[in-house]
Formats: sequence, C-alpha cells, structure tokens
Amino acid sequence: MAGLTAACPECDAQVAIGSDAEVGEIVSCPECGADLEIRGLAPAQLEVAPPEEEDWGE
Amino acid sequence: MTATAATTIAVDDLLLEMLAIPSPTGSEWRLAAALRDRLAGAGFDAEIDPAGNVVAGWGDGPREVMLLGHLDTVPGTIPPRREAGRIFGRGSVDAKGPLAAAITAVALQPRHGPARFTVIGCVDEEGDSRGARQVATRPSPATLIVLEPSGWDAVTVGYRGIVRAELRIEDALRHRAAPESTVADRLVALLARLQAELEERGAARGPFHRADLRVTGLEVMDTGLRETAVARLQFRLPPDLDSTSLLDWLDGERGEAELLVQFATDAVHTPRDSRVARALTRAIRRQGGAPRHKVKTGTADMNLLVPRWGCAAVAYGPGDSHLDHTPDEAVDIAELERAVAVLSGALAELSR
Repeated sequence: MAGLTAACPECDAQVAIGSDAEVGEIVSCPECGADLEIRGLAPAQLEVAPPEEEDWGE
Repeated sequence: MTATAATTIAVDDLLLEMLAIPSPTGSEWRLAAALRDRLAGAGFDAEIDPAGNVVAGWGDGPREVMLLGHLDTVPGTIPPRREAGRIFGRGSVDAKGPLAAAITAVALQPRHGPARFTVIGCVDEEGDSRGARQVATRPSPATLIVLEPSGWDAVTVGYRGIVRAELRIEDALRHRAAPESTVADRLVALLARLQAELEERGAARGPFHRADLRVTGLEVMDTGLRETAVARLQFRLPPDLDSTSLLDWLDGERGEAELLVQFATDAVHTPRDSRVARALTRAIRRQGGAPRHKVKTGTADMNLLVPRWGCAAVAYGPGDSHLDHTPDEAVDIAELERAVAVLSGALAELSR
C-alpha cells in the first residue's frame, strides 16, 4: 500500500497516507491543517475527524 | 545488577504498595525512597533527583521515551484495598495507577534497542509543579507520555492553562451601618463581574475551549482601623487565551483591587497524528478498543514541559478521572492490566 493518497474533504489537497496506516487513524492535511480520519484504505478515503471529547479533570 | 531480559511486575501488587504509603503534596519523600528501592530491585537505574523526583532508567538506546507521572496526591485517606475487582486508595486514579502501569510496561521492554525509557515520579504536581520544573532542566526526550488517567482506551491531547492569583482591596474600616460599601462588598461585586464576563465570552464554547474563574478562598481581616478583603482565584485558560493576555485583561478590570499572581501556565494542545499518539491508538485497537482522543479542562505537567521541549507528547493512563479527588477513588484491576498491555504495545512500536 506504499504511496497511498486521498483527497482532503475540506480543501481537496492530496494527503499522503503512510504504508502502515490503519483505518481509524488521524492524519493532518498539509495544506489546511484539518484533522482527518482514515475511513478506508482500498480505496483510500478520508473524512473530517470527529472533534476530541471534552472532559473535566486531569 | 546485570542487564538481562525484561522483568514481569504484578501491576496490582505494585499499585497497592504505592498506595500504602500516603504522599499528599509536600510529603512524597517516603514514597520516593521506597519506589526508588523497588525499581532498583526490579532492574531499573533508579535515583532521586534534587527536587525529590524518582527518576528510573531502563535500556540504553539513543532515543529517549519519557513516561512522567506524579507521586503526590491530594489529601484524604482512603484505606488501600482490593475489593470487587477494583483497587481503592487515594491516588489510585490520580495518578499512582497510571505510574504503576507505566513501570510495569517499561519493565517488559527489552533493554537493548533504539529506545531507552525514563520513568519519572514527580513531586508537587498538585501544587506548583516544583518536580516538573526540575525535570524541565533535562534535555528534551524524543517522546513524552504524561501519566494521567485518560482511560485505558483513550489518549489525552490537551489540557487548559491555569493562573493562580489573588485580588485584594484595602480601605479604612467604617461603621457597618454607614452607607458606604465594605471592601468585601466591592470585592465580591468585582468577582461577580469577572465571572459574568468570562461566562458570556465562553457561552457558545465547550468546556475545554472556554476560560473560567473559580474562587478558591475568601478572607476579610481588619486591624481595627483598616480592613482588607482577599480573594484567592483560579483561572483556567483555553488554547486561544494565554496567561499574559488574561492578566492584561485583569489589569484593565480590577480597578482599586491589587492583583498578585502566584503561578501561570498556558494551555497545551498536541497533535492527534504524532508518532506517540498513533502508537497508543494502534495499541488500543490491538486490545480490542475503539480509541478516543480527549481534551481536559484541568492542567497537568504537560503544560509546563511541552512548550519548553517541543517534543511529541500525549497523556495516557488507566482510570476514570471523574473519581479524581473524590472519596470514591478507585481503579478497575482489569483496566489497569489493559493499560499495561496498551503501553507495552505502544512502547514496542516506539522502539522500532
């Protein structure tokens, strides 16, 4: 799966996905900085990542 | 002691040993000494640094992975015990459980490889981070894992900043039936105005992304001729409000009140796609979990270290942080063991 790329759903830039990537991982768009979640690898597909959970405490 | 194979530690036994020595902030010494000896016996290169932190090394590779927890707890005695599959005790969640899990996971790693591991139990995390300030004088590691309770299947990537300050108003003492307001009247009105403005600014935001003010102490004193009202304050700061800006705003709002500042640190928000975040989330999946990323409304030693070092950093550890500082503080043994497996898997990946 070397050389995988997918389009950023926010700005349409091509985002490189590592050969060892897994579905569910977060990657960052190098153009717009959006956090994207890998939803598929064959074909490669990205969606805007859900926001982090906000929690109280440490 | 010769450098040989990995060591298996029973994490639940280790945690109970740590819980058996009370260590409220300012009284960590006895736990530090006992843990240093325990870790040395398990094959770590363990010492106590000038601040009183326990610093324990494992391995000799060039790439340092630091796992930084804290020895101190908030006050309150909860008898340490194993009950119904859980371990109870002050600090079982915040944060001796995460530290015990990290020690156990590191001891499972081979000693010779690209990575070396440094486990640190800091003093004074619940105070002014005197321990972390000592650690900050070390060279930056390649990777930092702060040991706080994210839950076994989650990784924390953000903490709010904090400013601890006092506002004081002093004036001549007047008869209580006089028309003029007292210093306490005026101070309380000021605090209400500050809180209302912060609430209005943060109304459309989630808890991590807003600033808030908590009054942690109120006192009125008089000499018979003059009186002083003092409020001790704790501000929590989101990533887009640094402490300098907050203090500039306070200077503009405080009027006659004097402002004294004890401590300030800004928010920290680290990437979800860093190598360490990915290593932990992969390891969570391997253990059958659906990994989550969290940002917390509290403040941790990560706030002090990440701006200084700029290294990849997350916080991780077993336990439900909603039990922090409560009389019901306890951690599931199964969660503790899962966290060891997650950490061990992540450390193995970081060693490649």
